[in-house]
Amino acid sequence: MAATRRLTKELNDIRKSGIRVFRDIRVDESNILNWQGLIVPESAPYNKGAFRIEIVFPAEYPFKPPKITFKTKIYHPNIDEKGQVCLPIIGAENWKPATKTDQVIQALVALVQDPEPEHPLRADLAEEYTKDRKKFMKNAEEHTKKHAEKRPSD
Amino acid sequence: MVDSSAGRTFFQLDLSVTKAKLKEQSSWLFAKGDPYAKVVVDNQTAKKTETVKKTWEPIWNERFVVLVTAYSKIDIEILCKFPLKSDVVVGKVSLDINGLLHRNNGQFKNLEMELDLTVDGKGTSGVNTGQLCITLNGIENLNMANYPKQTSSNSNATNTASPAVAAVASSSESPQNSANRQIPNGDEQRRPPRPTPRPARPASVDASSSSASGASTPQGAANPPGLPKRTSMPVIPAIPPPPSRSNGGTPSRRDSSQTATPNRETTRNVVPQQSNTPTGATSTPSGSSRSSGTPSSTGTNTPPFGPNRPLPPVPAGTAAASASPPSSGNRPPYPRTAQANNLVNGTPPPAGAGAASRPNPNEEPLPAGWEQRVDPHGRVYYVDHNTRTTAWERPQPLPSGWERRTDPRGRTYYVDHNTRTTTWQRPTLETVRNFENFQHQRTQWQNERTHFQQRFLLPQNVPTPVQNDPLGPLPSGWEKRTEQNGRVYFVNHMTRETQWEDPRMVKLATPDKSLPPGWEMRYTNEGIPYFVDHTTRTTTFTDPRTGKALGPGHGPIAYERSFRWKVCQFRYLCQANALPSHVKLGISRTNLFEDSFQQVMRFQAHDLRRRLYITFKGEEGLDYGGVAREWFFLLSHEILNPMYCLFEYTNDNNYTLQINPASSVNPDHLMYFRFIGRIVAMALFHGKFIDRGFTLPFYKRILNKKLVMKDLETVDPEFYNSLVWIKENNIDEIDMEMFFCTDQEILGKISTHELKPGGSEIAVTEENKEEYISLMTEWRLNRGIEEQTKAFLEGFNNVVPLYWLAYFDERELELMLCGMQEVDVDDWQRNTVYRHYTRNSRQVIWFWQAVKSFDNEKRTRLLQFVTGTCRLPVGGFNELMGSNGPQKFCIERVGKESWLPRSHTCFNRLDLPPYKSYEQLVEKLTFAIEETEGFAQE
Repeated sequence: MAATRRLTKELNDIRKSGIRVFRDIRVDESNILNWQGLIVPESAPYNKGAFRIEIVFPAEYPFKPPKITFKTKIYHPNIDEKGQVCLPIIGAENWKPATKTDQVIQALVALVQDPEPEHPLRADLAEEYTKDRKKFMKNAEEHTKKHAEKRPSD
Repeated sequence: MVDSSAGRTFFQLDLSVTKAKLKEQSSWLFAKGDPYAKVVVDNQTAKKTETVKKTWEPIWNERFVVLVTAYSKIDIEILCKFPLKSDVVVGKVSLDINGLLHRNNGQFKNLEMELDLTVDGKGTSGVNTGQLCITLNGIENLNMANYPKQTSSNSNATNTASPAVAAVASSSESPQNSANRQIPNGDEQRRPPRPTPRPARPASVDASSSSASGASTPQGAANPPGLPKRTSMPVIPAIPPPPSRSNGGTPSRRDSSQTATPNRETTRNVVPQQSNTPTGATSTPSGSSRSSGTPSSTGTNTPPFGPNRPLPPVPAGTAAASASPPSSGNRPPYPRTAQANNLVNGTPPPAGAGAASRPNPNEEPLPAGWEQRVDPHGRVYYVDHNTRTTAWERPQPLPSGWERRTDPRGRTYYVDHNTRTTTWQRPTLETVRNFENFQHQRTQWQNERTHFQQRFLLPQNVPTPVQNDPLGPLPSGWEKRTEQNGRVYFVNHMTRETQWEDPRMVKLATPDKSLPPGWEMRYTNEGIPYFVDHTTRTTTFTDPRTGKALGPGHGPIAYERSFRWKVCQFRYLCQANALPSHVKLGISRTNLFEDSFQQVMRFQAHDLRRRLYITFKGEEGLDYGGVAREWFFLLSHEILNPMYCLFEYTNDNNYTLQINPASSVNPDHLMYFRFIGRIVAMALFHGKFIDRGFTLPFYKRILNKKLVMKDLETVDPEFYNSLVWIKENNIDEIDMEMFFCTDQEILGKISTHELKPGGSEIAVTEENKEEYISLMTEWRLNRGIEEQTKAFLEGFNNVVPLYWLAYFDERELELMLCGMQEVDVDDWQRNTVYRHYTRNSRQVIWFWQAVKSFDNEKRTRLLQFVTGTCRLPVGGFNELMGSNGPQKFCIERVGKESWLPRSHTCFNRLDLPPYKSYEQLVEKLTFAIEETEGFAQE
């Protein structure tokens, strides 16, 4: 109940805000601790598709941070093959109970659009990103076209 | 021979006591008995069989010839031998010869009988404790008309002659019914065939748990190939312990007696397996029920962890209705709605709908009885038709060598044939890895043991200044020495003898050291002993044994508060309350935990205050303390055995133990917690140490001290940081949407708890947040472990009254229990890092100067203050762990000189203000580490 109250409010706020980069939010009404949604990046090379993510909140939310995983494959230095992403705002040492999920999503989208090759989860992509940006962009775009989901039409 | 004064005619009755099968009773708590049978005819001529050692299934095959009349009453009692007590009756039965003769047409010719044994239960007519097989022979062709049935005068005897028959007759379907009838000797089989031939097992496993395995004996294919067959497994440590022990309720007893029946005749009836196994329908291990998603619908057994989890083999409509979720509880493994919706919509698993459901081609096929389904959100979940549960995680097939079984109460457990152990938790690769790690650590224990052996409580080499001893100097010719573990003993050089008792105390007390009945010794807040006479309800400082006040020459108050003084007081309390003679424990190393559990729990708690005399089976050696020390060492590791689910590491990098909130997967966990409470109290009482201590908050619980926010730091740093954030920030400015209630997840189930009445409607504000923080702290540190803690404290308090510890704080308690190690200051200094200081800063130089001037106790306390425990890793300071992995001791320059030092136990960090002088540093540091309460909380 405790987490539910807060998450219900956060979910309503997010839905009301009409945020463009995070859409198609699906939440099982009986289990509000588990969200899915589409990240819809607006800049290249990821603007050719959309990426489904899952946000899992612990029962102790907001005392403990949520966990985010990519369900859609993405070619990105900070997101590994399993869809795990290293996002400082929800790291154990940075987490604050006041952090809202929309801030977390903003941070995630920012990371997607602007990779941080200094803290890579995939060193090979980070190297490509720094040394041969063109090649990286090309690969990432192809990968997006091939694996990502369709962008919502509206 | 036939005579109407027949009552006096004697016959030679040939009575063979063949064997018995005893069921362990909850009240016995012996591991294995040494039973023998005693035959009494008409209250005379007792004959005894030999004692059969260590079994509940003794086979005697002894023949007695007794003289009986046609009206004799024969009592047969089964007793267990005990070295320390008088023998205990574990079952008895009476035979009414007259009645028996009438039923057998006046002859006893190879009359085999299987009799139900009973013992007198409390308030009830008797508790069935097993069966006894005897054969009667030697009486032929009596004309029973000459021996009319007896009536009133002997009716008592008649009644007692066959209580079991009468009792069982009422429960008609019980197989015992037939068992109670006499079986004519010969080949004729009147009884229904028994399922599952099983060899008589060594009886370390009691009847009920063996029946558990009996009932679910793997059906051929289910037994992984190449495994040792059940028959070759001598002992399964009974981790799923017998149902009868847990609650002692009648139902469970009935359960076990029924299911025990099939085993009764295993030696005789070799019959193919039948489907009439009592728990047959549901106990079929992972086999046939895969087909339709409809498990066998008998449903007699409650699935573990939740009777209300229906698997829907029902029409869709009802399924949806019945599966409406309890608001928040549907996290895995309870995706009930998911199932229901799926049924309603009839959604076929959308192949590849959403990335989540993409089947991984590398994944192994599901184990038998499992099915994969997809909920309307495209999420994949898994249905286990064997247990009727669902889970989000893909089930791992049981690791090799494992087998799933069901006990007679329908509870599922798992047998690991590799290690010959059982556990309640479904093994996954992860748990198996955990266990392997645990096993691996076992091999390192030897290494740790050397360190353990070096622990002490009071330094031995520093001679105690006489003026500090509250009792004054020793008599001449006496010397006080200290054992390695800090236990003090006394040497009388004149007689060349040693003793535990302080000769000065002996002088004070009368030769008989125990207090008169009704008296009790207590301590005032100042630590002065006084005496309570409960018979008159008066108190006095005068020792009733000596007529004098005890403990002359108490030092000044400051000294009384010192750790050494407290330890001496505690030791004195223990010695004054010790009981004479020994408590003997014979423990097998291979079954250490279970053996210890059985034996320790079968004693009265106060018996455990006798001197410990521990032997390891098969090993010669007298216990002069060393064996006991080793026993405590080994036990303190075994309580962490993940198979028991009792304790867990506080977190990955903190090797202190905390109660596992999910311990209830082990249905007998509270019993085990009581046991561990006893063990810990015994260690204190007998001046022994345990390895691996508990968390400081747990010691505070033992001492009944209020838990504060800081206590959370080592236990759950993330949670702690969030609380700190709430404390330090104005939450009215942020939409926190927090109320005085909170959630908890145990084994996938979420429950909500109101922090105070109506709390779910009370919002947390800047004004009331202090209360919220305090309530949250309390809740977080106790959640899910209240019952376990209570059981632990109960067990503890029975051996050592908790108030004896009143003078200790939690750090001192840890020291008492775990002992100290010699702290190597050079190693410490070498492995320390600095922030905003350098190794040459004045304060740092003073700090090390101070540490070097401290004695070992004070160094240890400093260590506790900064790292949260007095324990050092085996590798020394180099291997110090913080909450996020290796974390060296760190000294950081923080604050102003007026501040006290502070610590961050999860980072092993000391905040040392820039003090102006060495003296100031020593003063502040000493104050901080000795005043344990209140200073560190900001």
